[in-house]
Amino acid sequence: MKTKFWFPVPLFLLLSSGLFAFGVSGIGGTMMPHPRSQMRNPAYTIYPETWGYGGGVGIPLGLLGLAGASTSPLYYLTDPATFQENFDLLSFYDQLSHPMEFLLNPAASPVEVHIEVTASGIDITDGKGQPVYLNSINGSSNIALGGTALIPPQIVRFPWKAGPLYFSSGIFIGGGGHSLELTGDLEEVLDLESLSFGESYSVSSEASFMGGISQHITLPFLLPVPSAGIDMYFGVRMVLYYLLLYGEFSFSAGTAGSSDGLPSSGNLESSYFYLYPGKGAGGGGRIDAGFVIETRDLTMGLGILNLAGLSGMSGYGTDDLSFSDLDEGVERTERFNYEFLPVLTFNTAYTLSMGFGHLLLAGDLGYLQNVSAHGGIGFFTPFAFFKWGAGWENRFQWSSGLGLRVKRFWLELIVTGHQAPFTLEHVVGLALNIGISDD
Amino acid sequence: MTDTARFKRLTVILLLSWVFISCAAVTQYTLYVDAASFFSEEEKTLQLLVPEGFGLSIYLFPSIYPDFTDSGPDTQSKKGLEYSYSSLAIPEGGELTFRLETSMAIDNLDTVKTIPDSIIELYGAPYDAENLYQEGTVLISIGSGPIAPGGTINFTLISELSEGDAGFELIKSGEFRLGIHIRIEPASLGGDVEILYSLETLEMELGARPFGLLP
Repeated sequence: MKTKFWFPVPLFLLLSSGLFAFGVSGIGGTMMPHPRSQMRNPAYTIYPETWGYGGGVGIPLGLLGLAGASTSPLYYLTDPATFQENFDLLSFYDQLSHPMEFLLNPAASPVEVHIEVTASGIDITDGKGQPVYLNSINGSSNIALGGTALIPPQIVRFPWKAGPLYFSSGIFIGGGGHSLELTGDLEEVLDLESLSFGESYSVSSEASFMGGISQHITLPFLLPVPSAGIDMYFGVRMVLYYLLLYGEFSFSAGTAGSSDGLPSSGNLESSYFYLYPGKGAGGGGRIDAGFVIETRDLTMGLGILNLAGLSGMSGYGTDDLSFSDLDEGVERTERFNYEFLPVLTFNTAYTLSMGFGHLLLAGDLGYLQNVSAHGGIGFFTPFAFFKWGAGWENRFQWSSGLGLRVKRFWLELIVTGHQAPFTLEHVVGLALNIGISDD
Repeated sequence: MTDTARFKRLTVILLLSWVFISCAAVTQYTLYVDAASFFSEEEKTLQLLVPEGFGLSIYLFPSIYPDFTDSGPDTQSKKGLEYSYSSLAIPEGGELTFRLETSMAIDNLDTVKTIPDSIIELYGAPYDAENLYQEGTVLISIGSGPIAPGGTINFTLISELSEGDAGFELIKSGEFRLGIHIRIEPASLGGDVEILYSLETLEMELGARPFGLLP
């Protein structure tokens, strides 16, 4: 009997402290009318919680995923031979970009990258003849962007409240986005347009990741509304962060046109920049704001992140990467970013009561560099729920969640899927959310 | 499509050879160029006269240039085909490999005269060479015996270079020029000989594992 009594206590303490961050939504990344959506819209901070819409906490299973031979950079220090043979930057990056999910088959670098040039065009494929995907993808949760104040969401958080202010102190880690692009000009050249003088043509590829601690300070409030049946929420948030870990790799191959229309000699530029404790640091802050309006069964929200943002970093890097000696030319580098780069998200949800439960239809539309969209459906009862959703963030993703209530605990098991960077292979992941009901 | 346009296009494309898509030790990068596809069918099959006394030289790259007067390659042919991936010095262990394969046929259209000897040479030269056939080195050459009247001879030249081979340093330098010289000797019995020259395949492959070498 003793074990039965003791087992839930530490778990209860852990969960009630809210130590872990919001989990994976289980509805294809669709934004729900729920406090967990405060990341994209601070007005949701004081929005009432509904079980199954989010709620509880996510367990960062992704950290387990980072222990694998292909995903762990730590082998570089402990077992260099294993590192050499197995480490795959793409797997590491993919797992890091999904910190709340344990990826069963993280994206793997292709065994071969085959670039075939014929008079009819150029094809970049993996060894199996699958075309390689040329595009750019935002970082973690579709809001992170390397080198800017758009940091990934907290994966471990400690929320607290003081007067009208809501605080959340936490740790963040995640991918900062990646891209592989032909410049438009180069596509023209491949179509046999002639080169122009002085213009450069290139293919570029880059990726970044970041980690550190962050502090959110949110001021949310319910706006007084004259007519009954309508609620309006507004929220403004300041995000301050200290960057402990940052890495960025970029490669570009290109040529410049010369006066006779022939390409002058080509160049390959490759650079990297990093910082970690003892080797530089960074920090910054930004302002976010959001608004939500709700009637009896319809909710609509608009969130704007990074209305203003500043980011500064001091680390080590080189613009002329030499593969034979990675330390060559590496020098202390300062970086500063204050460009206007807002992230917009509009979301809406419709609730339909159906006897013993209710049906939810939700959708959202976002913009950061590219347009993203998600949509999903869920059915909720007081003891169980099921939901499914899919989204487009320049590549396809989906997830499905099944939630069950066991006494006072809610358990939600989520299966996720997304297309791997570059190779578009289907990566499947598992996530777990746990919550405690108040009643 | 003019020769110049084709040349431009090919040169630009070769610069794409190092697109970094992923970074794992296992990943092998291969750049495959089907150079024969850049020549039109008319260019690939040429009916040519091998003049008495001079013989015939054909220079490949950037176009197919026949030289009937033994005066050497023209301005463009002297430059050949340029490869450039200069900033990326391939380090030790990068397993850089280079392979070139070309096959061609020469038909002796004459019913009486014999062509005594033909030879194909692959030249490689540093990027700044003015005339790669003078300043460069022969990476590989193959010759044929005589081509009898009405006879055909097929050549297949394969050049595979990897660490330790002569000419490998050139490939490794990241910037170089390539050219192919085909030499057909004048007929043994005197007088011009008509031949049919056909370029069948011409493909190049450059491979490396750039991340096999992280320190």
